[in-house]
Amino acid sequence: MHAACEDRLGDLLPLLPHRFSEEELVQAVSTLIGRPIYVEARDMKGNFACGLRERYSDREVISFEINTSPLHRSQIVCHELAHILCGHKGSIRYSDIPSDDELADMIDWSVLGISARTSYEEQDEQEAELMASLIVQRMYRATVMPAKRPTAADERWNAMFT
Amino acid sequence: MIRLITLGLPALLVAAALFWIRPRRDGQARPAHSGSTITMLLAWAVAIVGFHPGVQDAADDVTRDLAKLVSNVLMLVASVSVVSWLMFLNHEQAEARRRLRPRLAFLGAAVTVMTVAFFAVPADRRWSSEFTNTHWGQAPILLHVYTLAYVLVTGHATYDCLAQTWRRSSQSPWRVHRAGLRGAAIGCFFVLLYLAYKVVNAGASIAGVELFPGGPRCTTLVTPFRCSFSFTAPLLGVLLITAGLTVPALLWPAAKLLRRRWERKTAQDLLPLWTDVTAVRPQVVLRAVVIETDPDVVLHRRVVEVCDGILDLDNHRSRAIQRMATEAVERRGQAGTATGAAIVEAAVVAAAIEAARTGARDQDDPAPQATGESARAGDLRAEALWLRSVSQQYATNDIVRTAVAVQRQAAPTATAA
Ligand SMILES: [Zn+2]
Repeated sequence: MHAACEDRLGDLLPLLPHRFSEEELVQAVSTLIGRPIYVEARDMKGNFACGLRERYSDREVISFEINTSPLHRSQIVCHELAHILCGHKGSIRYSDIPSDDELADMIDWSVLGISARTSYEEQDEQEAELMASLIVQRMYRATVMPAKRPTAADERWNAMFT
Repeated sequence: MIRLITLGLPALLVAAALFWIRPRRDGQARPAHSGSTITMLLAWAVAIVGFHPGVQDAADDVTRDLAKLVSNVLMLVASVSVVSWLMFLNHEQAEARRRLRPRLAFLGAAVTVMTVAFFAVPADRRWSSEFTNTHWGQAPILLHVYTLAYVLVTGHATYDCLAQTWRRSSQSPWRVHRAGLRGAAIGCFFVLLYLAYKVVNAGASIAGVELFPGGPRCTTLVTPFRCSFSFTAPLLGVLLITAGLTVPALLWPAAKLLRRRWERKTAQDLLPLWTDVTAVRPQVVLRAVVIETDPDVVLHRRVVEVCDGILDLDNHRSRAIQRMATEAVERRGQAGTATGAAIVEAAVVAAAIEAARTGARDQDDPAPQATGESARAGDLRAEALWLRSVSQQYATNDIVRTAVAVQRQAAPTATAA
């Protein structure tokens, strides 16, 4: 699983600078899959998850819990992006959501599959969380270490002493 | 002293060059600008050796003032090597080479002019000759042409270096780098100051004005300020540039070591909170996959799991406990401080953990989560610092212990209710 995640990261990283923001990451994943990705902050208190990914035929929608710290929000977004990167179908269907649940109002009925960040019992959830951790790790390492193969002038300047 | 500097600094520079030449681990490619960095370090090493009294005396034995020509030419090469290094940093290799070509031609022309001028002036009219020393206003014009050629090349290179190191010194993400670049920029400023002095001096001589009496060399005691300036300014400049561009590289491995130690220690400090949060919310732990044992990976997982656990305990966050802890913190005069905020958050989380452990009822109106001021930056370091302070208070503070006791006594359990 780890090796497969590293492979996927190998496809993604060349699309990104050494230091990249969440927006750039979302853009890169979107380029890779050829579909737009919409990211929304939501107050998900009372719901069963802190992150959701809705898969539609023409787009992807990611929602993350707004009532948590910035790093945690990043992790949640990366987790949902990881589902997209890994090509997970989403184990929850629209019909699985009780009609009186708030979630039913938030999600479009044409959704093909939903993934929710709750626990890591399912293999897809494990894989997405691992992948997300690898991505967030790369983001952290880029802040403390210069690029190993600097490509832009900024990166070369940052790597000049190492 | 001068012998020590003119041998010690080059040794340092050669060592730095060797460090760059070193074979890299796991076949990792050397950065594209390594070549120009190594060239620059070696060029400076040679240029500084050129100031060694032994070298100077040997050159002067050949013909009067040859030492000056030798060290000036070596300094020109060294300063153009800095330009080359800057170009390889700023541009792709092919582009850097293209831009470098006219500068090399300029260097060649300047060296030719200086050499021709030097040998065209009879030895008894050169800088250290008695005539020129006593009649500086009547010094051969070629000596001034020589100075001009030298100053143009060095000045251009130094200005390039000053402008770029200064600009980059505010952009680097690392303090050590910023300090190094700033040091190098200040060094460039001293060199420029010295060059400006040379130009003014030469210009005044051509115009027949003797601005600084006493001849071109520090031969009299009448001009101590000028002598100390014309010696100290360039030396200080070169020292600052050299130190600015080598010390950060030397400190980098130490900084890396310290960072890993910090990551390991912080992950340790998070343990009290992590252990108790994950005991009541075991589903937040990514157990199935052991990722790596790198300290940053361990720290990152621990931080995320604590965040997940705290978020998952949201329904047990008591406003009453939050109020009680806030008042206790105020009584101790810690209101509005980072520690105070960490104590309140630790108390709320501790009571929530206790509530979850005893199966207490959900709060109707849960207390909002506090995100420490320090965690706003949103990176791992900022978040870890905040959670570490929460964890430390969680493990040690008696306000937190009181909160747990209050929760234990007051809260009816879901089953009891
Ligand atoms: Zn998920």
